[in-house]
Amino acid sequence: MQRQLSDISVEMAKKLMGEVEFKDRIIGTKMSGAGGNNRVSMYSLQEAAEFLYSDSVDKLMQMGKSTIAQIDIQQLIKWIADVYEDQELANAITEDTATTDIYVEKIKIAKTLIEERINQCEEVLK
Amino acid sequence: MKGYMGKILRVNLTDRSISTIDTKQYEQWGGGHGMGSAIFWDLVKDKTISAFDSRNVVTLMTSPLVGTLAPSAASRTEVQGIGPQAYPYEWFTRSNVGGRFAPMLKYAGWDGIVVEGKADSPVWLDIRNQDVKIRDASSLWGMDTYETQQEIWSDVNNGLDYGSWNQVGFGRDGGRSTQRPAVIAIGQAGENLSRIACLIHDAGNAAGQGGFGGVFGSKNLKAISVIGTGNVEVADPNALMQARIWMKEVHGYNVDEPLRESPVDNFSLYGTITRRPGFGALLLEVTEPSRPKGCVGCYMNCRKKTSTAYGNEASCVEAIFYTSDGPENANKATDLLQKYGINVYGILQHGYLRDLYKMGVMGPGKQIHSELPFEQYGKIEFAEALTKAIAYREDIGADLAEGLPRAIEKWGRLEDIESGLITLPNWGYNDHYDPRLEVEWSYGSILGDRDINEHCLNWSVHWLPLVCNAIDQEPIISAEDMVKTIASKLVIFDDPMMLDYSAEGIYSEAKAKMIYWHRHYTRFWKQSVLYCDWAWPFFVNANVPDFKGFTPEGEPKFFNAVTGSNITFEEGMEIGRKIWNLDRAIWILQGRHRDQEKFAGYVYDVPTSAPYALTAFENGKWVYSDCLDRSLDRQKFEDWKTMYYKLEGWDPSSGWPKRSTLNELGLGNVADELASKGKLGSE
Repeated sequence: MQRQLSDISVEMAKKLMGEVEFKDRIIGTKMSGAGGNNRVSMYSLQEAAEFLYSDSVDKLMQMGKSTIAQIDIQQLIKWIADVYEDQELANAITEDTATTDIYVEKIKIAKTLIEERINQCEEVLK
Repeated sequence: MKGYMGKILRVNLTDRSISTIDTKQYEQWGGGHGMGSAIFWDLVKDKTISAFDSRNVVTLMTSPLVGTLAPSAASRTEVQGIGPQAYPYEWFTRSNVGGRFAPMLKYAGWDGIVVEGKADSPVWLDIRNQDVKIRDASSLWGMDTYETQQEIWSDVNNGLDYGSWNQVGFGRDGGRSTQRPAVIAIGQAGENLSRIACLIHDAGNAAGQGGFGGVFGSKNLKAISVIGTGNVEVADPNALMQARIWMKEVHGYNVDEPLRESPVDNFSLYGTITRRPGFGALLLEVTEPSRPKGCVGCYMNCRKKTSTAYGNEASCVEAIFYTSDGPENANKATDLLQKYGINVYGILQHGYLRDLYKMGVMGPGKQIHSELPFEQYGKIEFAEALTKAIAYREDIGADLAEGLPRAIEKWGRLEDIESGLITLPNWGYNDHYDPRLEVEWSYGSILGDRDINEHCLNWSVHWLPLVCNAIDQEPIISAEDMVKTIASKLVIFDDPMMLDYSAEGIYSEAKAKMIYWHRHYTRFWKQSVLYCDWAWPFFVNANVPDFKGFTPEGEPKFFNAVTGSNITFEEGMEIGRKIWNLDRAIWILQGRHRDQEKFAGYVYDVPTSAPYALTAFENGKWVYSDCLDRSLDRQKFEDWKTMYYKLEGWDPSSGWPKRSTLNELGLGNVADELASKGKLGSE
């Protein structure tokens, strides 16, 4: 069952939907069979959610036909907690990603939770 | 030897003369790259000229296997000449493109094309079998690559619908064809002399790296079109058929009864290993109806043809140029690159521009003034503005058209390359695989002229364990079996330590042997015989019990069947060594010295932070290591270079070949030329 995040304030929603400064960005690496590794700077939660893309396991097994979004999950959690000050989301990602050892599953979980928070923000800011 | 058409087309755009070169003069080089280098050596007397100098010569070469049934070897064109992309030196360089241009060229009766000089107005080359004309391209100038090709198709096919029988050639007996001519063209980026302009053929085929689009533009050459109705004479058609059947029956993927099944339903077991055809999208999920698309003679079909036509047939790195605005817009962005004729690797790190914007350095009224819509970064609108700016040299596109490193130098921000804020590890080329770790890639690149883009080992030693780590599954082959399997195919060495990517292994003598093997293999078998990078060599095969692919047995099998020669794999490697040394001599005449063969600072100074799987011998056993927290050690790399130069027979103090080495390879004339310039290595 999908985790329900608590409601948030308008002020918090604005913060979470905003872009951070250069010094506060988070960096990941998009890995692909043909293209190799590409550094990606992320300046918002939306960008992080977009970045946390993973092909299905099926596709990942087809060597050279897939992309992997490589990011340090702990760093991502810290970024959400420290820069966006969303401790609840950070805790949720910490707990839910601990349920699996599979990296691509972890980033899917993180992506889903971040997207849920973004949806909440969009509702609040309507 | 069979397989050759016997003639190379020579076109001088300055005086608009057309002549031929007898292929026999260059058969010793095999084809492709070897022939191109040898022709360049002979025709370009002053190797120090710039890429845009009219004396620069561009060769587009095929091989004996092109246009035959040789698998994944029938379609490639090797493009060479001095390229404007490398930084800070414009090295003699190469690029390679698939599709159907090369086979069509052979069906027209040519083994290659040599382009010299510069036209005084825009032209295109119209080849219809033996009829060759230099034609006015003023009406094509300004068109994108798709429009250009469509115009030429219509012109050559007399406006007939695709598939209609068309009389080929200007004479009465030219033959007939239902085919469109194969066209290789430049877009606006090439016309405007961008250093990151490429050559586009059909859709999804590009000679990207090197900047040959700009070189075509400098010569006022908009396109080359060819249509042929001949065929390639094969020495032993039965042997060729038997070889292909052998490959399928012994090494092929058994669709009905695969030897090894995936633990996951509904997938193709390690696609690249099994070579199961028809994947469609190479990198991105297919979100619309599509069908597989491949180059002539290929059984892998690594590309896709989509129902919307957006991003048509583009499935390599250009397909991940700009993926943040949904699949459809990702394909549109890919199309923009192809239409303008922009090399994706020249602008793949567009995120760096956004970093500068966020730093407050770039933008309206900023230190680097730009009115590009950075507030729309991530949306297709930004990709549209960026690619247009580069193609037409507008806004910061005027700087970016010079390539990122030159733009960065102009902006006074070279420290960004050193720090790794933007990762351009060697000769200003974009990062590909991690230069601190996957060193057959980075060492090969810095010892050469460009990002090598040779996936020979990459699939097996890196990508397979990386994917398995990501999904927490045991690789289908252990690290130890992996290195032993590959090593058994590294004729003449057979040393598993060549595959050791540990912190010590990357500086070892065995690694010098690995680079030695790899440089020679790719120069001959891959870039001269023109076996496709995606399919060859074939080291590890999941379809057979012992995992052994068909390298080194396959390479000479097809070559000999087509040509009627009887060379061994090792003899091919020796030709590769000869080509590698000839290229080295050209670079040396351009000014190369060992002191220049150094990476950007971050490669030495910034440790890796993401897990990166590679085979490594650690703590007495073979593992797939995550290679964390590693950077290259400057002194150890310099020591390794000394070891490698000695292995190649080059003077370790300069990196220049010795006369004895060149004489042994039959390159005495090259030694003489180097000696006359004071650039021969000391014995």
